[in-house]
Amino acid sequence: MSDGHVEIRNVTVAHASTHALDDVSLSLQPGEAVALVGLSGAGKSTLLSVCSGMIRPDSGSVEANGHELAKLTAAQLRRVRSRIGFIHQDFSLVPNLRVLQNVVSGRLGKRSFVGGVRDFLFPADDVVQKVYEILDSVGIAEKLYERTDRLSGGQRQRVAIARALFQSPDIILADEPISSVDPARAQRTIALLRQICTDRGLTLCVSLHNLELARAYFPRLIALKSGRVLFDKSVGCITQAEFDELYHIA
Amino acid sequence: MRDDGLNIGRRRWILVGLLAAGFASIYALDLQWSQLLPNAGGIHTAGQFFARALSPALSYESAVPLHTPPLLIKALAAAWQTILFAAAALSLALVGGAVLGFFASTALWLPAGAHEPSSGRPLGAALLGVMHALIRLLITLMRSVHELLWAVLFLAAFGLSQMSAVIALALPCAGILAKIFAELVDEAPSEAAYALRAAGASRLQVFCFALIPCAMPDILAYVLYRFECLLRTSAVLGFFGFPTLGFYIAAAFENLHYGELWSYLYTLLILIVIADWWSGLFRRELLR
Amino acid sequence: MNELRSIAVLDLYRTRPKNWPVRISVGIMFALMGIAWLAGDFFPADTFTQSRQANVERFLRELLPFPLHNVDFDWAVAARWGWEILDNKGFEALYTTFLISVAAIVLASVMGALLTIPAARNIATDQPFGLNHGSPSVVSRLLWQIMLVVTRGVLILLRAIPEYVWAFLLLALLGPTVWSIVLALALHNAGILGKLSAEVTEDLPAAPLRALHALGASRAHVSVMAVLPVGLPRFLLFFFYRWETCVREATVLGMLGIASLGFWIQEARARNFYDEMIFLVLLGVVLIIVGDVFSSFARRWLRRLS
Repeated sequence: MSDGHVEIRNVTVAHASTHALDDVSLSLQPGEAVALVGLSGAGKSTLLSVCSGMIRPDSGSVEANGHELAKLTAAQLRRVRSRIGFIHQDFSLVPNLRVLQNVVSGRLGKRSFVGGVRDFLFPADDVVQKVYEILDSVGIAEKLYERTDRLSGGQRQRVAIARALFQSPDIILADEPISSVDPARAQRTIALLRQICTDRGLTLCVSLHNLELARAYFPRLIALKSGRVLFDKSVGCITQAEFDELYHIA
Repeated sequence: MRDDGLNIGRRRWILVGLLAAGFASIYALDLQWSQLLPNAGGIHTAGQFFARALSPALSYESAVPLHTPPLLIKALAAAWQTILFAAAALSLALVGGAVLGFFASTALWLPAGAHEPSSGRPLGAALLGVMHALIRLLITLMRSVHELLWAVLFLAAFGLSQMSAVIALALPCAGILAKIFAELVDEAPSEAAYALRAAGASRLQVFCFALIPCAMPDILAYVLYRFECLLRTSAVLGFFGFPTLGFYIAAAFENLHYGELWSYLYTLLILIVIADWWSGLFRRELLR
Repeated sequence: MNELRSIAVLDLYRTRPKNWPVRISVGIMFALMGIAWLAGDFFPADTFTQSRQANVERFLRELLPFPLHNVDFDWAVAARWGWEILDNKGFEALYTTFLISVAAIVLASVMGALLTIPAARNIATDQPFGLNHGSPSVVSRLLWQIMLVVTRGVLILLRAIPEYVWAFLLLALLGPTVWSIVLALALHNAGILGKLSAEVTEDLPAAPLRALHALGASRAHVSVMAVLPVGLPRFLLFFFYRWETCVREATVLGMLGIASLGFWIQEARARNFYDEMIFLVLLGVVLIIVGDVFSSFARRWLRRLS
């Protein structure tokens, strides 16, 4: 089984202007938890987008869940994407919808158009129940029917996590999920993400600014600098010199 | 930083230029300020007209056939007819505007992510482009012909038929709604759309479950504003013989029944003020 | 366990927040649209009669330019026919329509600007821009309050009466002069522009205005020196937006008997010259599209600035 497996070989992205990637290779094993670190503009977001097929690399190959993304038709690509939960930096929720609708929209990729309409307007009881349980697991069950723009930043972020979980994904990619919450909440969020992914056996790849959090919660770090992989090691083996080089601004 | 926008000099010249354009137009139209003073007949009419402003008629000013409903009932009935024409036209315009707006919007045809793999069918893309241009042309034509001109055209073609009044009201409104729908959906924030796309949703699903909900409050507020406009135009259609408020305004004026005229004018005023207040309230609540 | 949770969900569902004003408004709107089709008499029995059908057929036949009846289609003939209409009245009518719209919108802006000052809540008060003017006098507060209400009432009156009705009334008072159309457009649009710019004025940041006022500048000073320049891009945005509608309306108001495009359209209809009528309608479309394009360029430029 290759569910949860991500394999990137010699990927170069040139057209994404400043956040380009230059000959990046890496491999994520099922159930693994990895933090992507580096300065902003190092190409972390681009790399995550490449993993989910939202950016097509100029050269190199991307394999997710055992499918070579470049060879897929549009419909097949949608199916692969529906198994990859993506948590965006700005949460990317529809502000004037209820939390339930935002979470339910996570599994649109698995639904027909009519099924999507039904989920959206008249969700079945078991769907609501499932959303409720997922919201419960991220700690905001009571917000089920709240309007999303009435929530605080931290709560909205949990909605975004719940939406990704509702996809019942094999892989979760999170792009700077804590950039807009306060430090205490940031730590709780990372802990929560780690725990959920461990419990469900999901592959987790998080891009992070905060090196302390990355070191504290993730066994393996991948550092990007100017679009290249600077190091890719388990946390214990990284030397101070390597960290210094990562954050050294030329 | 250099202010290359509306700096003080440019501001002054814009204002002076626009004022000059206005006065040049007045001059070119050969308008004299003295014409603003009504002539003797006009003064007489004006006197009679304004004399009744504070005492609108509460009953007919001339003998009417037996069993004619009281004036106020008639005014309310005319207002009700005005509303019916506007509402019927709005229902048609909503359907037409939604369909045309859907096809006129670019959001559905452009990929959500800038670097997404395209479908790779150039012929299909070209056909879509042609269809798109034709729909936009149709929308422009519909909204560039004024409601009253549509009415005149239909009058010439069908004679006086109530349905033609409804369609005359609905056509430009559908065009405007289509244009606004398309613009609002295209300008809706695209982050949520991108996220759904990344979760495997199809373009149609992204359109319906991310872009439309984002644009919905603005769309609803605009629809209600359009209803207010439709009410006004529906009243004016009465001047062409349809049974809305304008018909009675024109009739009262021709019969020199200035009291009745004011009653109808006040009815129209109240109707529009209520609609104006309602659409303002609705907008505030929606966009809160 | 699961059952308990379901009860919790139901509970949440029952207490979910609802926006009643919006729900009721949408409900009323749909109800009105439904009732309109049931109560309105839009399908009288004579909708589809023989004579009507014949009428439609005749109308469609006569849309073809007259010189082309019963002969092969010839572009040269059609062009000559079109040019003749343009030369006789088309250009003149277009020019007049354009002038009416410009004169009307400029007058409307001047009137609207004058009405904005007493209609803006932050200016028309005894404590403008939130600045304390010492011991508050009940009389002055009351006077300002009255002024505000009266001005807002005038604005509502101006914009509630449709242009066409204004023109109809003014024609009776002023006689058949172009003024009646220009003024009708100007009055209606002054109401709209006054309302919109009063809203913009109220939303302007208060601190700079207050500072200027504290220096001793009068309300008029502040309006001209601070409100006008800061709000100008928005005001101009409204100006062009309303100008577009002015072009549309100026075309139509001619039907009341003033020599804009509408007059000639009405006249062609009266003579049953449907080919000429549709030609003039399309001419109006061209004018409106040109106005739209110009105005949308101007508005895009302004939006970049504001």
